[in-house]
Formats: sequence, structure tokens, C-alpha cells
Amino acid sequence: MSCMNEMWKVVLSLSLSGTVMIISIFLLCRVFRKKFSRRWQYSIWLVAVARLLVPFSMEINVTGSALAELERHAGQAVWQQEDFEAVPAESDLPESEAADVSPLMEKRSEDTEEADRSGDGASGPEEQGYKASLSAFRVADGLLRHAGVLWLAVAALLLIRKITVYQSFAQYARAGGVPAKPELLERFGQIAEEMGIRGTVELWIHPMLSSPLLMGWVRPVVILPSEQLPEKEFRYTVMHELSHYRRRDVCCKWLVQLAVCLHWFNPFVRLLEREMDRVCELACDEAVLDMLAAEEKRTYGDTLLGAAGSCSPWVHRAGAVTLHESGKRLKERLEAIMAYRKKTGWVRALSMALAVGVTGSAAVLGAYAGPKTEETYAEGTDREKNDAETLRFFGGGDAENERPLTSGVFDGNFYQSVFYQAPYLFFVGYDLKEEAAAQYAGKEITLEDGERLYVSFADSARDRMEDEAFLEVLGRQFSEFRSRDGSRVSGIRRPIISSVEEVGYDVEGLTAKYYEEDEMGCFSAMISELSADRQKDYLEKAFEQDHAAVLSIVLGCLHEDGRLEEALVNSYAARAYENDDVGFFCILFDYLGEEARREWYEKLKREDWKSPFYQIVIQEYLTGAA
Amino acid sequence: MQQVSDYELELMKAIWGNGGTALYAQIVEALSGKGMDWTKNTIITLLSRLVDKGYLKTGKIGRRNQYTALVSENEYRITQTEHFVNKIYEGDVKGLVSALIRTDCLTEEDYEELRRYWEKAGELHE
Repeated sequence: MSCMNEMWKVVLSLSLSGTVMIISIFLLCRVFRKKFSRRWQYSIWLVAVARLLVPFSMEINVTGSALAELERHAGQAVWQQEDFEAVPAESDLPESEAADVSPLMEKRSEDTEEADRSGDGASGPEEQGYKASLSAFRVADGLLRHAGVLWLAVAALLLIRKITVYQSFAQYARAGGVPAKPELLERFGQIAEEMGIRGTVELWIHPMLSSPLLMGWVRPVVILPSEQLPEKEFRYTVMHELSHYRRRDVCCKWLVQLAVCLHWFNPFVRLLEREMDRVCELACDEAVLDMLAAEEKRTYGDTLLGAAGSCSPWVHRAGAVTLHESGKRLKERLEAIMAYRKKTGWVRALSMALAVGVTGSAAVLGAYAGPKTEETYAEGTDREKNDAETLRFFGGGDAENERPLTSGVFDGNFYQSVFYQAPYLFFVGYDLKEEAAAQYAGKEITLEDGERLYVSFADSARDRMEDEAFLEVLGRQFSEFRSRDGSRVSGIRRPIISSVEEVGYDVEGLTAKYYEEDEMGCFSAMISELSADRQKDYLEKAFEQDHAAVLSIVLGCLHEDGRLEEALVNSYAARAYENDDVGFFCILFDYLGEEARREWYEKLKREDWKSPFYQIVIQEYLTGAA
Repeated sequence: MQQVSDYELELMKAIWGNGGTALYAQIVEALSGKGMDWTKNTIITLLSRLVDKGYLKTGKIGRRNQYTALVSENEYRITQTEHFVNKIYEGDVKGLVSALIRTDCLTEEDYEELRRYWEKAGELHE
């Protein structure tokens, strides 16, 4: 009994100091999020875990004796009170006894005896008051003494439950898992060798899993959902999982779980668990990116992005859409989303990567029917080419003979946007590298605030350089950018016009035309010219016609103009959920505020935690509205 | 008896070739000799798969692992042949033999020898 109480006191003290650590680390990470690498963050969180699990003797003395003091004072109050009661009947108490605190038990029994003897001597209202505070002290005292049993019982129960849940999942994995063919195993082994992995890791294929994972400690196994992964995807997925193995993340996760069980009463430990889960995957990604060459980093990101949308095919599998079709549509959607985000600057590749990472660990929660197809992985390597090509496809000019604008001529990140200023529709890329600007024809234009801006023209747009009307329009457009404080376009320094077309003034007609022709860039330029009501009409149309790119564009447009009501977004999100449309739900969820997100989180956690919707919600909700 | 992949069969051959029991290093050597330079991860994983399937058992000599075959090469051949005949010829051995003759895999002399062996075996059974 007393041993359990000792343990309980130790745990309490560890919990207290651990909480302090957790709070400080949490704040530290929040403030210096950008500066510190995720791996570093992960390591310091581990220190907090150690603090929670390992009792240092110093600890016990400080906090432990503080608790002992508390006990003593509580006990002392009890005894002193009884002393007080006893005194009138016993007037010649030896002084040493009154002051003595050590042989407490003895004194106590003596006092109670005497109190009993003196019995019903005095009993006024003061006495009642004292008796009340006495019992309060007694309760606190009792709690400290006996809580140990309660704590241990709950902790043990939680731990056993966790182990059971894990075991049933492991069984599921073993049952459906098929050892990978030796050829694949060999490729796997080669990657392991390159990474310098020392232990032996098995490789299984389990078609019912939602995403790759690493399982086991003594006999670790990487489980992939499909054996037909394209070379790059296979490589990066394996590197990611083996990274987990090398960083001993499985072990760390269990340590965290142990801490959660032992400190079940402490809500801050849940915070720790959440933060660690989040940072774990990010840190792992970092570790992998560290091993890749600069060019590969982009493709790695693309692989993760491709995997993010892979939930959808299974959902559609139950419906009429075949896997092949939905795979292609999904790729289209992802490309549209990515392309659009790039144009408006909402590049949230990091949180998406995070999203995928959490999905991987969330795989332990449940599994889904249906295998992955290779079409679901975005072809990242083509993207660079596509970006370069889009800069020259539209409008006049000799497409074959002109110099293609590749991302190489741009300074750092490059962006491309389409703009409409009646009657022109033009493509602008920015910012050009200084050396590159010299290679293209250009002209200086004056902006409204008097500032002069040098605008380059690509070969296909060169004839516009002399078009006065167009130059005026350009001046107006860039002046408008300057006034958009804080927006990325306000900082354009060296733009290049890649193509221009005189499309006219029929905004409605043009918008409809680009919608029909699936010209998303042009569509996005035109849509901002429409009224809010018309924009919402397009929103509905996009939703009905299952056009993800348009949905994203219109939502973005409405959001920028401050015309996007949360109720509207939420109603679409609910419809998407009912239609089992994960892709749409994902896009819409992004636009919801904290409250609404939390509601979805609660709702899905209760009703539908096995679904891809819950996974999306977890990722987005836990990363916070960014 | 479970089926084994080509890779696993090579491992078994390496062990059989070493007298039915071999150390990890010896297995690697035997494989290299045939030009099969597999990664360590692959070899050890496949060996443990073979243990799970009941073809091998592991032991330790000092700190090194030793693998002993529980199934001899001959036993393996026989089971595989039975499996093959059952699967492809649906248990009809004659069909197999006639296929072998037709494709010139079996000469007249081979066939005669086979027949005599068969009859003798038949007599022994009775």
C-alpha cells in the first residue's frame, strides 16, 4: 500500500515538472517554428517524455518532500485540533509532546484516547467550524494516501487496452499481408543498404491498407499497399519508412503511449502526444530530404502529394466509377489544385506533406477496402515541363521557334498568373533573373505612383510591346498590384509577359467559354470580374459537375474578396460528405474556420473515424488554420 | 509443403550444396559464386521466410547463425514432381511420360529402363 503511494507521489511530481516542460517546449516551438528543424523539435519533445518517465533522485527529494510536508501539515492540523480539544481535560501535558512532530502516530493515538475520554466536553459553534475544516484536511490527506491505488488501476487498464488494440491490428496486418516477391525485396534491400540501415527489415504487401507503414520492433516489417509502384514512388516511400526505422520512431511512439497511460490524469500529456505525432512525420520527411539531391526534393514532395489524394479511388470503387477512371480524374484534380495554388500563391506543400505523414500513422486506426492504383500518383517529373510549356502555349507566335521559358530563368520561386483587363487577357511570369531579363525584349512603363517598372516580353508577346493601349492597361494592372499591400503580387519586380490576347469585353461570355473549354488559367482571370452572385452560381455548377479545379478557383476568388460566408462553405462540405466525395471535402475544409473545423472533427471522431474524411480532418484540424 | 520462390530455392541449393547445413557467410559465398550478389537484407529475410515455411531451422555457432535444411533436396524434388503432375497432368503420370517421349526428352532406352524399374517397384510392393 505504502509502496504504491510512494509510486503515486513520484508520478505526481514527474507529472508536475513534465507539465512545465511541455508548456515551455510548446511555446518555444510555436515561436521559433520556422527557425528550428523538425528533427530538433522532435528531440526536445523526447526530452519531455523522458522527464515524464524517468524519476531522478533529485526530483523525489524536492517535490517528494514538498508533498511529504503537505501531508505532515495536514496531519498536524488534525492532531493539533485534537490536542486543542484534549487540552482542557488534560492540563499537565509535557511540553515536549505538544511541540514534538516526529512520533506522530503515537501521539495521535494518545490524543484520540484522551479526546475520547474527555468526550463530549465542549461542543459550541466554533467547535463545529473546526471539525469541518478538520474533515476537509482528512479528505485531502486520505486522497494523497489512497489515490495511488486508483491511479495504478486506471494506468494499468489503459496500458492493457492499448496493447490489445495494437495486437489486433498486428493480427489483421499479418493475416492480409503477403511477403513481397524477392525481386521487390531486393530493390528494397538495395535502398536499405544505400541508407546504411543495419538491421533486417521485412517487406510485405497488404492490399487493404490505406497507406504504407512500418510495424514491429523485434522483427520490423514495412507494409506497402501495392507492389506496383512506379520507381520513384517506391523509392521515396521506402526511404520514408526506413527513416522511421532508423530513427526508432516505433519505440518513441510506444514511450509516448506509456507516458500517456501513466499520466492519464494530465491533459498536457495529451498535448505532448499530439505534437509529437505531428512532428514525427515531419522530422522523418526532413531526414529523407536530407539524403536527396536538390532536384529530387521536388519529386519527393510530388510523391507525397500524389499519395494524399489516394483515399478517393476506394471510395469511388463502391460506386459506378471504375478505378482507372477515378484515378485519372484524381490526378487531374490534384494537378488543377496544385496549379491553381501556385498561381495564387497559396503553396501549402508543407502542410500537405504533413497531412500525408499523419495519414501514414493514422493507418493504424483502420484500413480501407480496395487497392491503390499507380494512376493515383501524380507524375511529378512532368510538372516542371508543363509549367514551362504553359508559358508559351496560349496566343499567337510561332510556338515551335520561340525560346521556351523554363523555370530556370526565374529568380527563386517562379509564379505565373493570368490577368484580365478589358479587353486583354495576358499571362505574366515573375520574377525574372536579372541576367535573363537582358535576353528578352522589354520596355519601361510608368506606374500611377510615378514608379518605373521594366517589363520584359517573351517572343510570343513581343508585338504587344508597341501597343500603346496594352501598355496603358499593363500600367494600370501593375499599379493595382502595388496597392495590394502584403499580397505577393505587390512585390513584383521583374515581370515577363509571355502572351497576350485581345479577347474583348464580354466578361460573362468569356468566363463561360473558358469554363467549357477547361481553360483554368483564363477562367480564373475572368471569374474575379463577375459579381458575387454569378461567382456563387459557378460554385454550384462546379460542385454539380464535379469540377474540382473550378471549385478551388471560385472559392479562392470569393475568399480573397471577403465574400465567402462560412455557412455556404459548410453546406457544400456537408454535401460533399454525403456524396462521399473526399477530394471536394478536402478543398472545402480548408476554408472553414476554427469552430466549424472542430465540429467536423468531433462529429467524424464519433461517427466515422475509419473514413478518409476523418484523416483529412485530423491533418487539417491539428495543423491549425494556417 | 509451401511453395518457394526461385530466390529461396537458390538459397536452399546453397545450403544443400554445403552438406545440408551452412553458415550465413558460406551461403553468401555460394551465391556470389553463381553471380547472385543480393543484399544482406534480402538474404536474411528470405532465410527467415524459409524458416517460417518449415524448410530450415536456425542454430548458433558462437555468435554466428547456422542454417540447417529440414527438407532434403531429394524430398523437395519428389514433392515438386508430385505437385507438378497433380497440377498439370491431373495425376496422370502416363500423360507426363508420353509428353516427355514426344518432345524427345525421353529416349527409347530411358523408357525401357523406366519400365523395368516400374515393374520391379510394383513387384516389391506386392
